[in-house]
Amino acid sequence: MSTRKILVVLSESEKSDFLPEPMWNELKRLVPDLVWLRPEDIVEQSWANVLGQIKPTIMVSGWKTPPLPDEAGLARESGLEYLCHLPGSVRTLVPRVWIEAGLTVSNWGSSISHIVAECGLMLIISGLRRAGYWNLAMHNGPAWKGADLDTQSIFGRRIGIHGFGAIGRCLVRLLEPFSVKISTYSPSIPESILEEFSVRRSSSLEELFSSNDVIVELAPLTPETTGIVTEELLRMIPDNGLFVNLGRGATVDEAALERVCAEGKLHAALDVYTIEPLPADSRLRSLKNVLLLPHLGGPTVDQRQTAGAYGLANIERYIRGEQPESLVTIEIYDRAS
Amino acid sequence: MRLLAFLNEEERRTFFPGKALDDAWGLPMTCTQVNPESMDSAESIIREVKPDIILGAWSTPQLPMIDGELPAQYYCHVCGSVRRHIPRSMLEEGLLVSNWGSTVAAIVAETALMLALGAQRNLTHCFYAIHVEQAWRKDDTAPRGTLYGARVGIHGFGLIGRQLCHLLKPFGVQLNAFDPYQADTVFASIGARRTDRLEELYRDNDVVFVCCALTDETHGIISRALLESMKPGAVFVNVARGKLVDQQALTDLLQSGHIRAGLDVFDNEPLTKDSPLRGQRNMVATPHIGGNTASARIQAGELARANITRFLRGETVTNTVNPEQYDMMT
Repeated sequence: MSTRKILVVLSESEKSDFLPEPMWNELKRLVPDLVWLRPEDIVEQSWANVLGQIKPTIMVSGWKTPPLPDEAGLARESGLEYLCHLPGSVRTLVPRVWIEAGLTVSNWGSSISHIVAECGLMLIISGLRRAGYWNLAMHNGPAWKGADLDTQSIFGRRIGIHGFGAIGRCLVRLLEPFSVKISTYSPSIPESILEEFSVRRSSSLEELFSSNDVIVELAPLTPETTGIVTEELLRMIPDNGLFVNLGRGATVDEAALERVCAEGKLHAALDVYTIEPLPADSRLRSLKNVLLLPHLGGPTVDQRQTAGAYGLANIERYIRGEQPESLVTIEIYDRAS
Repeated sequence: MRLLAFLNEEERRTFFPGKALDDAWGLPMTCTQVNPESMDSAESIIREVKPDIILGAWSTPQLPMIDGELPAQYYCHVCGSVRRHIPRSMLEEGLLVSNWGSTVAAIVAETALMLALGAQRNLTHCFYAIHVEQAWRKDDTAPRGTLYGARVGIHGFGLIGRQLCHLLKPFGVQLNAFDPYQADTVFASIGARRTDRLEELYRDNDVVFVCCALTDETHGIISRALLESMKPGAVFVNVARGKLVDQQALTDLLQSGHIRAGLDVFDNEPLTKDSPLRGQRNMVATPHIGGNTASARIQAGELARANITRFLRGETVTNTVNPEQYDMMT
């Protein structure tokens, strides 16, 4: 295995969060011929030069790794065999031609789904309790509660989940103590899984949105789901309901969401947006019934090393001649957010 | 039978929405409603109405004895602590008293969970970045900490603390609880490890939840030394009472960045306008709304109605308050 060469392209903080010292040493033990470059090095020298000079067979990447060029020639001839992407989506990092040319690509798969689900639970409870409003009012002014509170508890609510993948399933487990009634619209999920999680199937998005107090958006972004959450659907959510988006911003007609929330009858708690970073002048930022996070549903800093360890195990598999887990095949690539 | 309700307008509307109370829920009794904010003396009204049952809430005044007799047979308190409304001696003399019992404990536990998750994920930093500064991610918005697998300390293992354990179980946490007034079997039945020393509870856990009652013994029990002993970056959550804590020490430790906090309660409420806690970005705060949701009030009102019905039928009233429970009330 001495011919293998690994290129790690991570920022300083990504390296220490995902691969702290013991894991970094383990990686060097696995592949002694290791080069670590920062994202800015790639920008300076260009991918073609870096790949040409270093000739890595394996590469490790993170959020800050610059996108590979959309060049079929380079993809075929670079000599890169395996890209171990430590976080999730590779859509912006890896143009399709690289996968067509045979590059093996893996990501964190569902290894961090539980952490995103935890963020989801926080957004649901905080949204129902109007905690975004109250927290800011307490900090940024002299506020105290008045006579009329419209805060709600999660106990006994009806919760509708759009898209029942790994995150949705972890979320259901966290919701179990609250005696909630959970429905999902997720056509591709077999009946047996819904039974295992005691989740009711909604026959349409219209049914899901009109018969739940809380809607959790978790559909993957594909051409078919782009803009699938229309103004009409949002208006079907019962008054004083809550819309939570943990999936991808572009599944929702964001302008419509702004309009409907501004009328005051729908509350929202969002982690994702059509354009990220969310434009500074977005009206969503100033709505009192809307709670926003800067796309931070993913792993908490202390959990990033879980993703690092997952990547490390994948590299080990690859070196042993086995297939890494959570491969991004061309089919998954086309379906993914 | 005669019911006398001492409720202000807001309490009447939120605990008993609609007109049901005006019609005494169709029960065979008369119902007199008095707003305590616009009456002269409770005593004269009680003399006039001669109630069998008094229905009360936060605005209800301290009930007086009438010529050495109890003011009614049954005091149905629609919320929690009755300390400000009846003296202990009335319980000893046989006044039947009920309150909202455990219905609200679960909702307070839910608040505690929310505050812990928010503090771990640096929610206030995020809100400032997004809602105030029109910015995006910053170094301090990174979520630091998860409840999955966390070591959790619960200070006070009453209804709220035990409810909280149920909500935390799916996270696979290690549960440690301190409460000198609970039997070992209570800890065992929930699957929590009993911690005998408060020092250990604060020193050894990633998240500490305060769920204990405020009494003479517990006033100020969470000292500067206990807070200082917490792990760097640990999360302190208080949904019980502000006066349990040395708030100056808590403020200092938040300012120094040693710990993070999720607080629903403060030593003086409303929290003073110029409190240094306001603007402290490693703290998630709510204005003492832990048990106070619209749905919780309706549920508590429903419980009161059910209990009054039981009383009229000569059945056993639920969620009654005995002198020992009275002593533990805040």
